[in-house]
Amino acid sequence: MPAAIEIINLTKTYRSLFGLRQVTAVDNLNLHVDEGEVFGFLGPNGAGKTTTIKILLGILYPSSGECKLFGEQFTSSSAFAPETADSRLKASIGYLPEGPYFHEFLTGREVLAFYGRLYGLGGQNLKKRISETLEIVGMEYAADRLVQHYSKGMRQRVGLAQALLSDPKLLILDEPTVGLDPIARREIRDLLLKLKGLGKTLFICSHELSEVEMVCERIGIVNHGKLIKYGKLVDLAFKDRAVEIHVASLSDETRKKLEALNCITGKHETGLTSIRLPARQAVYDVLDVLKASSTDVVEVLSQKESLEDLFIRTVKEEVA
Amino acid sequence: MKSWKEWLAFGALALAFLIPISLLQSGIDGDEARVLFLRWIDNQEAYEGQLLQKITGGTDDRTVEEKDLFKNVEDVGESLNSGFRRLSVREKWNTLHNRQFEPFYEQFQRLAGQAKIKAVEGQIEWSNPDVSANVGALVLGFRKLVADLLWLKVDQYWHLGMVQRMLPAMETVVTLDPHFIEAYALGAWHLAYNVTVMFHSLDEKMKYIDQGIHLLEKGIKSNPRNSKLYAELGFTIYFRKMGDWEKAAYYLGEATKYEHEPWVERAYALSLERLLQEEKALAVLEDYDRRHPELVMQQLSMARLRKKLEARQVEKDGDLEHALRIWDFLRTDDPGDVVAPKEFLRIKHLLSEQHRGASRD
Amino acid sequence: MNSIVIGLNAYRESIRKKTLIAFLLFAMLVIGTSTFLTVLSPGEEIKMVKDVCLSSISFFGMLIAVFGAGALIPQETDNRTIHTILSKPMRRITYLLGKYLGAQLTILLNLGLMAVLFLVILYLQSRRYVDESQAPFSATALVTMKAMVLVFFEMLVLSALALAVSTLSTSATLPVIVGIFIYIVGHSVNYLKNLSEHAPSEFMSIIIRQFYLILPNFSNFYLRNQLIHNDPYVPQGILKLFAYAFLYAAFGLLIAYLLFRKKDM
Repeated sequence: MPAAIEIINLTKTYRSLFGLRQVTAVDNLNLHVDEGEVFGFLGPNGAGKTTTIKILLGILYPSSGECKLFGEQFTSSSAFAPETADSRLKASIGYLPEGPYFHEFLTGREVLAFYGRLYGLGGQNLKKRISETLEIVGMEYAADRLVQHYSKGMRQRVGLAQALLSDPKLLILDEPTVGLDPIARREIRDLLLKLKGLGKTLFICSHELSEVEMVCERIGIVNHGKLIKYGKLVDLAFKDRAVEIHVASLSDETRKKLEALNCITGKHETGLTSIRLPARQAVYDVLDVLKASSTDVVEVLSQKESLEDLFIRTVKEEVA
Repeated sequence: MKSWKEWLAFGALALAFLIPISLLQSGIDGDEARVLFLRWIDNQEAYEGQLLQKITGGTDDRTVEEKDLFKNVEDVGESLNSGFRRLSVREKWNTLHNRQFEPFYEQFQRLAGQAKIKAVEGQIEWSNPDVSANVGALVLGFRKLVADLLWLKVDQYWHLGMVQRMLPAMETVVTLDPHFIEAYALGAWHLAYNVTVMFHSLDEKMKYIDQGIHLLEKGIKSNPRNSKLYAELGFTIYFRKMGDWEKAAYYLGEATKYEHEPWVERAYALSLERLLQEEKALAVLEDYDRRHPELVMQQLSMARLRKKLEARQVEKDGDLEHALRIWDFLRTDDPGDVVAPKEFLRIKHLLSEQHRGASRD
Repeated sequence: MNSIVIGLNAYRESIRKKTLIAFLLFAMLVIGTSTFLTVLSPGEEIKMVKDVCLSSISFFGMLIAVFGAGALIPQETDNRTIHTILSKPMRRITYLLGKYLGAQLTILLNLGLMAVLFLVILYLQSRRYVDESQAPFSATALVTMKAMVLVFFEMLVLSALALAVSTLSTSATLPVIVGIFIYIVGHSVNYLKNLSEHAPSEFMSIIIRQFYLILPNFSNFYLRNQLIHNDPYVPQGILKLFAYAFLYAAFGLLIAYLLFRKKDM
């Protein structure tokens, strides 16, 4: 089975009007996303994420390298190439743009009808598709209101509905949660998980890491057009996670025993006493000690390095 | 390499558009030039007609080349179609596409480029850089509108009594819009009537009437198929202002050849009547009566014309007494008739001669 | 098919644009009040009305064409709707043609409204001044429609060129300014023809003439002035003008496509 996305040595250079100045937005990028996977594409602003997405969508043409979707490539870089293959390919991708804007004078349903017709849908088929997607994104209640009265979250959901119209195998989402309030953010995240459950491949592009962390299996971090970190989230961020145990109180005797095991004890702001373990492997030894002294264990926490830390560390390393 | 080929393909595609575009543009220009040629022919015919009547004030101001060219064109036209002069615009247009006209057309273009063709004004501007109508292009297709606005200015000057300012403005109006019929007509009327009353010397009056005539003649040059200008020149100027029946009859006659208002024919008949051509006048009115049975004005005139013809017949038969009675009736019946009193006096004179001769005998 | 969807969308969007509505209202105002102008010029009422109306229709038609066609693509680039639309299964040429179609619908609607008002004014005028030899109103209406068609031909070309310029721009300002400039140039190219006839050398003359022949020439459509005043000297008809407008619009769209097909969005 071919990969959903296969990017090989992709380079994109923008030229100024007369070709005097060049800016490299994407530099020799290699990427691989399997079908059914949720991939997080991360990077600071201006790192080349959007450019990569546009190339994936066939809106931009690469300067060199290739970009295959389900083993196929866009051909329309040649003016005389037939469109049918590209059309089929484009129909298999759904795209949610960053901060989607729709024609303000249309209602949500009309927006979907407009985009649906661009997919060649029509009549009953189109109606059915529209109500299906509206149901998925939970927007039936506001479908006949004008877009200009929509909140940001509602727009985002109509944007998702629009991306789902052709029932695509691959969804490319550009900053799906940016600028939303916590509740809307939560709703969108649930929606993404729902889509994942429907078996879609998700390519999420974001600089809001906490969101990605909660839904993505694999991530790629891009900066200055180059891919600098790439792999499973577990491998990248959860490798050296520390463990912390919170207990109600701690006798001096137990404390000494624990310090002998190289643990660091301290007072937690919640009033609990925290025990920070030197390594994950020490957890059973520590628990044995605590069991022996009948200490009241409140919680055992796995202190992973957050994606945010990873991201900042990686970008800093890159700069250094 | 690939993109190089693509650009070549697009270049070829662009040429595939540009070549037909330039051909079409040449075609459109060609049509326009041919229409100009057609206008020129019509205008020459009108001018020639005036010359034949020997009633154009000045002499023939055309160049030798222009005259020759026109003669050749007319000859070929007549040989192709015996009624060449009387053809409608469309028929003439079709005839002009005959190969035989080709050399004349080219010669016309050449002469126009050398400013040796004077008779068509306004339209010839592009081939003649000296003509101030190039101003027209500065107003981007709104020259008619500009002409209209300037015409309002002329009207304003008139109400302010600034006659000297009216004249150049009027000239500019008709240069900008050579087909502004009302500007010629109204302008000439202003000059011949309203301006002349401001002067007492006959010379001054004649000067402005002449200017009015020139304005109308210029209008006829640019619009040889417009009846209103002929009618205006014939009736308003020559008939009513100058009392020149002969010129009036000629211009009103020309006016009836093109689409005209009904009164033109009645005026034509009236001017013929004053020229003592009663039979012709009657024929005109009878024809008119057939086409306009709903109008009644002509009935009276026709009755009077028949009476006049009867008087002439009676006179020819020798019954002068009877003729005198008829003319006397006509004289008193319509005091506006300038012919009847004269004829009455003439017959009376003849009668008195007869009486004197009889008494001498 | 997609062009039609895009076109109808662009049309729905354009007719809500405040600039275009303002132009239309202003044109309607000028046309509507043209009949008062005739009070100042006794004798030539109909001519004045025709000139004022036709001029304002072509002028505001020009503005509507330039603003209508020139703003479509920059606006969508600006709010990034263009990305969503282009990510749908459709070629860029389809998108361009759709936008052009939408612009034409907008222009047609505006011209249509202006033409209807023009005809109403003409009808009222013809009722007001009953003349012995007036042509029937149907004849006037026919030549008026012909003149309107010529105005539309001009807009067809102008909007295609404005659209071509707009593919280069992210704001509507550039295409509007360039569009108006093209309009001015298109009405002045006859100077070049004049120049080519008086060029110092044969070679220069040919070069200038060729240049003149390929530039857009809007003075071709001056014929509408003659038509509307019933000038008898229009034997050549308007077929060539139609072919010219059609070809030139297609050429404008070709340029638009060349500029747009690989443009980095």
